[in-house]
Amino acid sequence: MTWLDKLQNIDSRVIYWAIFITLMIPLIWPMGVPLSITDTTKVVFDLVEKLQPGDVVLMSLDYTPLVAPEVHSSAIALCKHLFGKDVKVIFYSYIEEGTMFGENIISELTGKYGLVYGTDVVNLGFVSGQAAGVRALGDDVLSTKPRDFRGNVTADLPIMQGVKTAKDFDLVLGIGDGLAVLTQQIGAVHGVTVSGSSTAAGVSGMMPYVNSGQVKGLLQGLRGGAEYEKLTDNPGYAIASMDAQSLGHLAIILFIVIGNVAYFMKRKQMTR
Amino acid sequence: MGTIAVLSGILYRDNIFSSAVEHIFVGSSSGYFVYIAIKTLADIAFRPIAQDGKLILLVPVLLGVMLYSRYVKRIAWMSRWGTSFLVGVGSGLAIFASIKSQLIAQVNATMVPLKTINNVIMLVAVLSILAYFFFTFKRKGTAFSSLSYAARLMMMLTFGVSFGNVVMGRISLLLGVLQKLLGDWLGII
Amino acid sequence: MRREVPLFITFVVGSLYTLNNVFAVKVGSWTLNSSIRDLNTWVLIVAAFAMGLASVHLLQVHTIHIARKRKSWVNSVLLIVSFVLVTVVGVLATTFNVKGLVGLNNNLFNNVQSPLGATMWAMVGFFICSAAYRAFRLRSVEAGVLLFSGILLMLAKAPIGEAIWRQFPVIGTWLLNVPNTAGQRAIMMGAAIGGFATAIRIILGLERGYLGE
Repeated sequence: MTWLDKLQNIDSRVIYWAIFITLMIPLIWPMGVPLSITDTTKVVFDLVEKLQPGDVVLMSLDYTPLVAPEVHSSAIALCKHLFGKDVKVIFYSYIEEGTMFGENIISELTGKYGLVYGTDVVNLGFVSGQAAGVRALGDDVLSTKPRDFRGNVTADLPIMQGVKTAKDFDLVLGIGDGLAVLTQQIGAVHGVTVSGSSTAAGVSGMMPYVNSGQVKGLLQGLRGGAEYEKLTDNPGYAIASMDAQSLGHLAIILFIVIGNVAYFMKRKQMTR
Repeated sequence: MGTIAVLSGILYRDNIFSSAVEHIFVGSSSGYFVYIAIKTLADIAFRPIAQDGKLILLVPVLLGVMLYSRYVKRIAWMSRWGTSFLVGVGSGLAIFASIKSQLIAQVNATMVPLKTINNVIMLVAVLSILAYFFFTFKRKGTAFSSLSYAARLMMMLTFGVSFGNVVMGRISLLLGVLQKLLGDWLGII
Repeated sequence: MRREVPLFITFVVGSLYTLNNVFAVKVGSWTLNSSIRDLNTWVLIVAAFAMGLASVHLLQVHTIHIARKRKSWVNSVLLIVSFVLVTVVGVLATTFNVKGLVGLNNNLFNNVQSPLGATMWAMVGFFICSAAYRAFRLRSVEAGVLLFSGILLMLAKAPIGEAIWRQFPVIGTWLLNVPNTAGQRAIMMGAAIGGFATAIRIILGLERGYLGE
């Protein structure tokens, strides 16, 4: 096996360790690479900025623990912004595990913002039926969720007074991969403004919705969360990860280049 | 501990610890789905039936129970009733969702004034990719063959962008794990 | 009857939902919309029952593993134990509101399920790096377009890309907003037409794959 063949067939574990170390170094020794703000993030920020104290926002936490590291920081940053403006937030999820993230956000932010459960925030819990469940929630919130995640009767909660259908929400935010379903079953049906955050893998599929105006703005993956943390001056986990994200990308590009250089040199050798 | 066990399976090789942790995860995930389903049913079915007397809800409860008849060969045909109910609803909703949000809105967004080069590229790209998927007539030697090639290049651009985004996403997930390991567990960061 | 009744159910339910989206049907004081809202609750109930199907099958498979003492049957025991623990604690904490178990329920999610799930999916990050290194070769023009657009977007999305050259984010944004949007839009429109046609066929009983035929 020549050195060109070896370059084209590096052991996978070598690549794994290289990526592992490349990502660890900037986490321990941050580089401080400046972060610019994309237009789609600015649109989301402006939407939330326009909200008034007492407005009610529906936040759909449609992500599993598998992709939580990507979008949970966006959810936290958005909630900090919303609670800082005394906006009321109603959580729900049509993904089973999303409901627990709602509980986590509430317990993390209650102390800082003096939230009263049932008045400032509520976690409606899980809505079964995927798209049908989301549509049902948009048509009639109280009969779709007669009880919240903690077992309270939703009709008795102060935050739910005046909330009957999706039209009663001032903004609907989707976090995770459920933004498309939210757009189709709530945005298109009730004409409510829909925005939110998507996993990076889902961003390319969401761009037609953003471009057509069905979704106003978009936080794109972990970088979107970092940009929102910077805009709201609430640095968190996302901003801290950006240096490592940068080096990770460069490492992958380097490996791709090495593979291609070796491939072309080998091909040239064989044609001689 | 579980995180290190799973990492060891990747960075070194599969071992009994990584395999055990994977099974624990699958078991706890399934358990989570079941308890959430039970809670949902308690809220929207069992309590309304028992406390509010909404006996009509026994019909969907029966349809739901019938879904489990698939595990008994003799009565497996009964599970089709519940399945057909869900499929009917899904189809009815899909018609509206696909037409309004995925077709009409997207066509509106494509048919924009051709005042900028981006709008021209958008229109040409969308039309060429749509034409690419017409397989009912010959394309060789016609104008469609060059349109097909342009469509293929546009699709490669699209998939390349998707790939870039997927890479970004997966690196972000790895970072989450490392943050937990180095931050919460080892306290280095 | 075993085939006709399910087809009839699909036809009736699908037609009602389709009609409700198109017309505001009203007969006296009854409206179709109010019946659809009642039907929505039925959907949620049946869908909630459907959630347990996969778990039943999983338990079946692993119980057989344990009974026949197949290779690594101990893992199957761990699976069933974790399943039972999470289910029992979850039901008691959330459905019966046993206060003492709420904390344990949250801990099981935050310290077992969540980190393990994140780690397992994060391993795909390693695989994608290795796969990108092995598979991305400049063999043709199309492969080159795929490769360069991917690399450009990776450089655009990483903050260091802007530090290297200020135009990388501009190019990345253009790639995302124009060619990517055009491609995804065309694919979405084609899928929407296909989805619409399939939905009509299912409602009319022409498509019977879901019945196992």
